[in-house]
Amino acid sequence: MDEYVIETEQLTKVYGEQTAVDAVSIHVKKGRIYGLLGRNGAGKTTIMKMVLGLTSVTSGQIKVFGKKMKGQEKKIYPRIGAIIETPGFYPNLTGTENLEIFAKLRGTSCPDAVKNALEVVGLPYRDKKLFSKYSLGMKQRLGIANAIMHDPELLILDEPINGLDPIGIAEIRNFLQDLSKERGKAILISSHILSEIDLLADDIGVIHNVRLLEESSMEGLRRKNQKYIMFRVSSTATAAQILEQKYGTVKYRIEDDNAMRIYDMSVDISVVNEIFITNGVGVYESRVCDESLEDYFKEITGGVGIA
Amino acid sequence: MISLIQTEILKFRRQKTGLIMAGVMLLFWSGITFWAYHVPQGDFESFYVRYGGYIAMLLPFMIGLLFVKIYHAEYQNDTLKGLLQVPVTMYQLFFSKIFFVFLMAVIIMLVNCLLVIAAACICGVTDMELHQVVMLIKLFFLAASGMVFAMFPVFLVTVFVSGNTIFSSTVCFIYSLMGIIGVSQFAGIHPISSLLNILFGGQISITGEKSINLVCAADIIIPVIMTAVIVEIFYMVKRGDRFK
Ligand SMILES: Nc1ncnc2c1ncn2[C@@H]1O[C@H](COP(=O)(O)OP(=O)(O)O)[C@@H](O)[C@H]1O
Ligand SMILES: [Mg+2]
Repeated sequence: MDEYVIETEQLTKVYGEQTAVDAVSIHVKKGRIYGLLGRNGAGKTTIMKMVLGLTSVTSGQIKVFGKKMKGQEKKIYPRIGAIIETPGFYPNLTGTENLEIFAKLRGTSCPDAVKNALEVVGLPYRDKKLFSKYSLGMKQRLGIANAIMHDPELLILDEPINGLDPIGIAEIRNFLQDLSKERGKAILISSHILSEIDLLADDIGVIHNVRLLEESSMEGLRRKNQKYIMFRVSSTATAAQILEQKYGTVKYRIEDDNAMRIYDMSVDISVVNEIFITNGVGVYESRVCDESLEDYFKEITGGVGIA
Repeated sequence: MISLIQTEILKFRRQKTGLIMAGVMLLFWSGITFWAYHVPQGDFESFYVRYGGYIAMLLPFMIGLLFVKIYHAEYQNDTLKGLLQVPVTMYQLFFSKIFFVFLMAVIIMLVNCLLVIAAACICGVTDMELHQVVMLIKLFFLAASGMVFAMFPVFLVTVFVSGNTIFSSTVCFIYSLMGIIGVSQFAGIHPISSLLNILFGGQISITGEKSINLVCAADIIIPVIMTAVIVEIFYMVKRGDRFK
């Protein structure tokens, strides 16, 4: 019963000498947003191209809506909306004309499809401006409009927020969350921006150096992350001594001369504060923090971090 | 397929190419008219066949380059990935572009029907009759459609170099030029020469034999069939990777 919208199995792509994707197995579910996170050149675009059948697969398997794409293109493509890398449109036409071309080719039945899609991404309908005169953000918006115009069940969006302004990003984010939560669409989205995936995704796949390092739900990932108490003091060396005297085996980590983390959440911040001060250690700051995803990714990528 | 052809027409909006082609045609027309004005003319029929023969020589350059341009545009604008997801196959796209080029060729030749009548009036050839005008339209229509078939080898090369304009334009130019220069020598060998011989035989070629027409027709049709097959195989093998 647990049918995935996209399921890849040991998906691999080799370009000549270079491996672009190595044994990646991802699972995208209905009604959820799957964030593919990875740095430039990690292999995100290549994975999406293979899922869409735009480039050949070296080895491994892909199932979209539980079926193999080959031979089913006519049935499967109309259920998918996608942007891959930069949006490709005709520069001598306006945004509306461009969308009308794709609507006509898709045989979109709804006469207002183009108008509605433009409205969603905040571009004017029947505007005179040619695509060649669009800004990067406007091009990206038109690409998104084209991807959602035919009301697909699955969206595949390759770095869709590139070039958008912060307000635009928030708008698109809300819209995508609406689509997945209210309308049950599956969305596969890639980004090299961790905070963006953090805000948007329900599930996450971390791609690093062409391999999938981690696949999990965001809740699962957050649960894994530890809380800690962060102290900024005049001298961490003295503070550490004091801590060991008072608490014996408390788990802590010294960051630098002034910053340290206590991972034992059973200690009382106010008590520690008092002990530090009475023993002549100045306390500038003390608070409870979550270990960020960033820290976590630094850990699993062996220090380089993910974004 | 019909909506594909309609979109080809939509994509042509605001393209300067249309204007350039009209300009070239007018220039060509004024040149010929100027020349025809200064030499004695016979009847209307020989007038329009001669004019048709010349304008038909311009046609392969125009439609070949037009095809190269609109085929390359899909690569240049990175629109293939969008089209393939519709899904449109490369093969459908290829033939819809040929059909669009055919429409353009027909329009060009119909405009030339008017131009040749205007030229005839200017040059004082006024013995026009209705049935002659009908014959004129038929001849020019045949020239337009025949020339599209004769250009299939150029379309094939364009597909093979995946829209590399410089290479395919050069091939188009050399191919068209050879077909025209070698009208007599290449009849039955070069599709353009063959077509010109079939349509304008006696007027522009020294062979002018009727018996050679069958060979010429085969010379046009065989490359068309071969192109259709080779292109299909090419797209099957190259599927993916080539297109973004
Ligand atoms: N057409 C191609 N030919 C050769 N190598 C490629 C091609 N496309 C991508 N690559 C390589 O594959 C790797 C992954 O690329 P890509 O999937 O575009 O990464 P991302 O989208 O995560 O930035 C990169 O090292 C890139 O250089
Ligand atoms: Mg990419």
